[in-house]
Amino acid sequence: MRSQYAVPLSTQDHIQAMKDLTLDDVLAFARQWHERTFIEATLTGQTTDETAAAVVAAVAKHFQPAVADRATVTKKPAIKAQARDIVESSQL
Amino acid sequence: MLGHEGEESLYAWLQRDNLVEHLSAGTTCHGGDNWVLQLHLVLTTTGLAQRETVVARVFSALREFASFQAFPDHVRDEVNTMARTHYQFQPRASSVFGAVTKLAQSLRREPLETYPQQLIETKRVDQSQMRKLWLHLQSPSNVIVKLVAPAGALEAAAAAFKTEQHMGARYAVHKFTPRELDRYTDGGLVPNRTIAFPRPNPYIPRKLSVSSAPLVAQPLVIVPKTAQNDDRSHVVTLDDRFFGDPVVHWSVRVHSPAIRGDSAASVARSAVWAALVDEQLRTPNYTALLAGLSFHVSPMATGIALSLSGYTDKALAVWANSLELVKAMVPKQTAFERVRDRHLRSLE
Repeated sequence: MRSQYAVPLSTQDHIQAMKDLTLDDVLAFARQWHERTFIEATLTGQTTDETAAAVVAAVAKHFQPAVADRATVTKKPAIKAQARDIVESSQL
Repeated sequence: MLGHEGEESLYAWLQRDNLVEHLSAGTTCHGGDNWVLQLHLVLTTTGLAQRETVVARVFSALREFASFQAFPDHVRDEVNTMARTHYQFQPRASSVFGAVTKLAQSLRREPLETYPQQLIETKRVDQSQMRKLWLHLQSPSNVIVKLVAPAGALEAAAAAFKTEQHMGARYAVHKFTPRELDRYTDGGLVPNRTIAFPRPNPYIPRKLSVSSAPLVAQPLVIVPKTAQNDDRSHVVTLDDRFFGDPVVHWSVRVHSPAIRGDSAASVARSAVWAALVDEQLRTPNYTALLAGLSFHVSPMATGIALSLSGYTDKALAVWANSLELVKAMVPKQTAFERVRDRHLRSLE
């Protein structure tokens, strides 16, 4: 549960966020989280190239209506920038 | 039958009313000839408050199974197929001592001439013996119920608590009361016609074989291969050239800007959503699990991780069906509260 990124979150932060969470928040999250995605896959064992393509295509069919900027969603510096945005927006 | 988690199981019946989080069944050997059947239930807060109902439903399920005329052949055949498959493609044991101990224990139960065939396969199910077993189990006089719970949840019984002298643990023992006995025997049980033997499992593997590619002696020389690397995805495959077993391990991380590890609210949303999905997939995917295929959904700091491990034969079918279910999942308020409470308990 604890973030591995720049802005430290305390256990108390997580407890409060969990207490504040509602079913509507989760339903909205379920609808929105896959609007833009980047897929990263590691496929091991007896997996042929055709099977690998089918595995990723099945994910893309459901969870990739639009492609997200790869660096923004996977790289650590981008997360730091997001954290800075949060701090700045909370001060407005 | 008791530990099954399909749509027509005891587990599904208890889950529908938010009484349990998990259920499992198995046997333990006590000495050479004694076996104890154990049913392990993890209760929800509601289940703890209504524990008599939970126990009554267990007895009710036992009575339903006893009323069935014949143990279905397809269940026996599927159990045999999976036992043979697991034996044929068993993972290498990391603990030699553990493996040898297990072998030594099982060797006591079957002569070397046939070992391990009889322990693995059930040739015939004796219907009358099976019926006798169900009847024996449904009598409360043959059953012990153990309840482990926070002391605060058992206030009503607090006066009866004793303290164990070595560890200082608090405990209480009591016999079933006449009222409980009435509730747990024929007269007091509520019949449930939705409980049934499992239907044929479509995911039982039929075609499995060790890799035909030449195997290598050292796994360290295997190099990952990039199958795809563009603006949509980065896909790496790693052929198993060391064991060659007919299994796959797929790990797919779906990164999304909507999920951020630096926001407690975002972490809470994705953690609870992933746990809800994982929990709700449990019943529809239980047949896949019995066939050696497990699918999971878990949260990450930057997205959602999807994974599948198991035998190759039906892996892609389980993968595709599971993704359909993940997308279609709509959680209910009771399930949401149960999962959020579980996360809160782990944080506190």
